[in-house]
Amino acid sequence: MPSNAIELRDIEKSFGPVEVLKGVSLSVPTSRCYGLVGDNGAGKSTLLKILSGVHPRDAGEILVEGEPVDFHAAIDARFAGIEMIYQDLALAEDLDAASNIFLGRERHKGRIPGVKRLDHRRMRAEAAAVLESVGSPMPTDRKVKTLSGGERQLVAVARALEFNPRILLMDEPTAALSVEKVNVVNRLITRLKDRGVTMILVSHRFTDLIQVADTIGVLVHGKIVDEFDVANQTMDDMTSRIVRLMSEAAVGALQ
Amino acid sequence: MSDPAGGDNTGGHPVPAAPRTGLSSGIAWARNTISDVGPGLFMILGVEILVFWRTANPYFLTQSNFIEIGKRMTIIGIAAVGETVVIIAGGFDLSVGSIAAMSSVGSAWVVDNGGTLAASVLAALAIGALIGVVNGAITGYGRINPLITTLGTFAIVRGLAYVLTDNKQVTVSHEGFQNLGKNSAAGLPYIVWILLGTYMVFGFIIPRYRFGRYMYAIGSNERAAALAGVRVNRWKLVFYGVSGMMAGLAGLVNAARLGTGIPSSSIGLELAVITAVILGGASLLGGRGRLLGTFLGVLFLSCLLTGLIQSGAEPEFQRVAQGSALILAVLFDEWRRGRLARG
Repeated sequence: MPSNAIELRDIEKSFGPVEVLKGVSLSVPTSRCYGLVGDNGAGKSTLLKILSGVHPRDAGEILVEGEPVDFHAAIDARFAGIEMIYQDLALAEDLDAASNIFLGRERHKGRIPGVKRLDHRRMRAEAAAVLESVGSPMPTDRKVKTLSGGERQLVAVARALEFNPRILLMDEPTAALSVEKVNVVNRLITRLKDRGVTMILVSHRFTDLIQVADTIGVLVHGKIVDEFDVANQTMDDMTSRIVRLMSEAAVGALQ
Repeated sequence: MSDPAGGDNTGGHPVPAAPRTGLSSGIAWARNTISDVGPGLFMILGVEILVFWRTANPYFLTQSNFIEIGKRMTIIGIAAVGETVVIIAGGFDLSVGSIAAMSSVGSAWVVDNGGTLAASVLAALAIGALIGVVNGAITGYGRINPLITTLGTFAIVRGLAYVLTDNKQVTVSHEGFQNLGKNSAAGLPYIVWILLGTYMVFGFIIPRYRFGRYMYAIGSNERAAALAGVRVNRWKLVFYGVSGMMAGLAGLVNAARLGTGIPSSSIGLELAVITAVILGGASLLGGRGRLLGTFLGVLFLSCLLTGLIQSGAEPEFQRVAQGSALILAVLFDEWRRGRLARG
């Protein structure tokens, strides 16, 4: 039995009177990809933000490789090897690609103790290498605002990969991409799994998730209502299952 | 779509990053600088010529007049360094004039009470930095809009300067302090050297240290910087602290120049400083701007004001000119952004 890279137990979260997560439990074995499907407002992004240290949870437990963890800020999660790619990418558009990739974790040089000089040359070289490894060689000194949507997405992915995460969380990784770029990202996800990276992907486009995820969970109104392994299902079965659950949820919301 | 750097992003042809020679990175630097500072620069040059024409004064181009302009630049210019930092970082500092006044009386008080010149310089910097850090704490940890925060400290600090001095000037008899404001070295007044020194120090720091990197990052996307692990609120203390410290230095220079610490000095300094920074190409939305641009903005404003005085315009007209320049600069910034968004 493979060990779980990440395990969530009964995670609860409310914003004021709104209960967003009502006891979510899931576990992802090492180097597997878990796809979380759900409609807008189902709590997908909130769950990822709890995992990445942005929001504190109200109740429940998070275990990373069997150890309970408690994150107070995004940087805590990153130091624990959990990288998150946000839906809006969270890039500083006035900085170049290299500066974004190393933002908050700059490489330094200099012999005077306590005085950290930025090592531009090293950061540019490493940024160029990681960008090439995600299949997007580009000049690292161009401001992010001059890049295309797909290039920005890959800068965000490169930033997450530069620090060799054990766990990668992606919020709507393909929502803003063309079909062609979706395939680039999907190939990348498959390669990352081979490298031993555990992933949780969140999307409302389950057709994209089915191509890369090993397990699909359906999140409806803050609860996982269905979970199945992709390998055991036919495409039609999965599609009808998900469509049925989500349309039931939509009808329920109307009533 | 063509990429002058020779990058081919059509896929399938990974282009190894071209080795950056000193020359090509120099060209890249020049290109970035011109794109950031350039539009402001051309406007500055254009208006500059107008001012030269208007004054129609052969004296305008003489060396002694340049030194006059340089001296006029110092107080605005030193305070503008700190304001540039805060504005690039996405903030705003209205309190620089009040801080300068407080530091001018503070530093004058120190030498007047037997302190050394060094102690008075330290006092000026410390007073400014302290008030700046308070600004930073309120805007950062208190999440109060910087306009409101610094409008508040603008009033508080000015009021305290009056109260603490009993609304009296602090006249200085200390010789070294007066010499600092009067004497020259290598053909330039000390205070102009101080001005140039500040730009050199910050011009050195900004591209080389996290200070500069985070200043642009926080101004560009504060949330992204925080998610990346940048301690945003802590850095705001630094940025506003620097702004206050530079305002304090400007106040010291003013006191040294006049030989007096005056609680009612530097009224309207914030207008001149913010005008210069925006003229220099810094964006009010944060994330963009250059120290070099600010320097040019200060130079322009000083030429404008000197030209106005020498052409015999009413002194009150200086404010009209500064206010107009500020609005024009912001309009220009908007227009530039709009154009960029379309392109």
